[in-house]
Amino acid sequence: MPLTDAYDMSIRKIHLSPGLLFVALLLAGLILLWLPQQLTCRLNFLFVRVFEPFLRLGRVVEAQRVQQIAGAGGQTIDAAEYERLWKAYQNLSAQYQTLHQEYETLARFRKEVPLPWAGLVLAEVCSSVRGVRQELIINKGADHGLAAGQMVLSEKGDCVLGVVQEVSSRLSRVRLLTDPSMTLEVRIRRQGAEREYAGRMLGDGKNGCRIPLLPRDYDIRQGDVVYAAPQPGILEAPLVVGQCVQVQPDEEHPLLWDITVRPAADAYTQKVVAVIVPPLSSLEKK
Amino acid sequence: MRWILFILLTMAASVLEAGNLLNLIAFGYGQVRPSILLVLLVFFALRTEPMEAVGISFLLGFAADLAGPVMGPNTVCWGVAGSLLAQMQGLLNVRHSVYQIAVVLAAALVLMGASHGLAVLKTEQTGTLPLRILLGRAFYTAAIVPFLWPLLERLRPLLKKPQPGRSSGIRLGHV
Repeated sequence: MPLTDAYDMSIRKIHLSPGLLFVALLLAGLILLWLPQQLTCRLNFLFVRVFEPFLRLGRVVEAQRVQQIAGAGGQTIDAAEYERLWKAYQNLSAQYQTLHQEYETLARFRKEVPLPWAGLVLAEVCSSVRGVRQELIINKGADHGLAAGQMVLSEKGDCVLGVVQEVSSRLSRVRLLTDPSMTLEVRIRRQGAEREYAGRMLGDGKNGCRIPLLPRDYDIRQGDVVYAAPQPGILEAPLVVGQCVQVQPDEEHPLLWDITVRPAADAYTQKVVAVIVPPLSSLEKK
Repeated sequence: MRWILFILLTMAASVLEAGNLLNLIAFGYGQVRPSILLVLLVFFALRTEPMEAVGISFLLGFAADLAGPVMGPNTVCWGVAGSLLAQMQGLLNVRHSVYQIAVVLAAALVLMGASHGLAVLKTEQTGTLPLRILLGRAFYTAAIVPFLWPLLERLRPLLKKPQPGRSSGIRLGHV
């Protein structure tokens, strides 16, 4: 007997009315809605794992199109090289300043040298989500030491792309900097200036970010570099996030700045990303 | 309804929804793309028997949840909306493409907003609701209706279970 016939027979046997079926399915849907996200996200990860080749296919086609567009103009390679060098230079500059501050402290006090980054886990991008949410799904998960809250960098590890949001055993969901629900502690620093300003960066849901609520007496200008603030165990040194492309007074609060930030890298063109994982020893302790 | 075929169709649509293939026809940094599952929801809610439409609506909502990041919001919203649409089959005249577009647009606006709200409730992640993207997606979904609806009309006989006593496609000549 075919499966569909068996289904129809079973429905007739139970005498399901449309109303009863609606109530039963609605209850099932509500249960699914009320179950914790940590539990139900496994279904999403299972879907991605099963259909990964098809989801990846779309990405390959899109990447080829981007490459074709990039190849059409002769200036693009130089621009990419310029971007890479710019990020490397800004990172070195920030690291130099941090090291310099540490050196000054060490000159006065003896202290234990902090652990360097344990390492980077490279992960391939399986799929990307654009729309109300802006996310990447990568092919490494809890089995590889990934956990929610860890920083995700570009392939060369020279700028921040986002933060790990959810993990399964083999897959992870990365929330990008531009996601509207994304918030990140940042520092704004200008080349050559000693002073830096702390702020909270929010995704604008399009292709940029915003830093609101900074007083107008802060000397922030277009072109200033935005770094992810160091966080113990997650990010030991500041790392480039982007650049201030627009600095203007807030329309609603004229005493505050409304700063628009352009991310240093386009997350959607990345094929591979790197995730900062904690030291192996601490993982073993866990 | 041939459920196996329908589930295959639903899975294909949800893979398109979750994947990047639709980015090739997307606007606005790839954020404004049509929702094929939503057109399927309106079509099958209005063009199948009410009993089947209820099951189909919840199944399509579940598929939309699978393709997205949060489980539950679409199952509930799409299930309720599809069941309501099924009850309005006699009231809504969707033979003309203008009405089809209007119904899909209204459904898209309501459902995208409602499921976004439920997703925020579930994940407790506050963030600004990008109205521009929601409106863009709703209008784009409505814009593909004139192309997708006739295709689904042609596909419907294949998904419909053959009536007992009738052979599929072979008609006996008069004796």
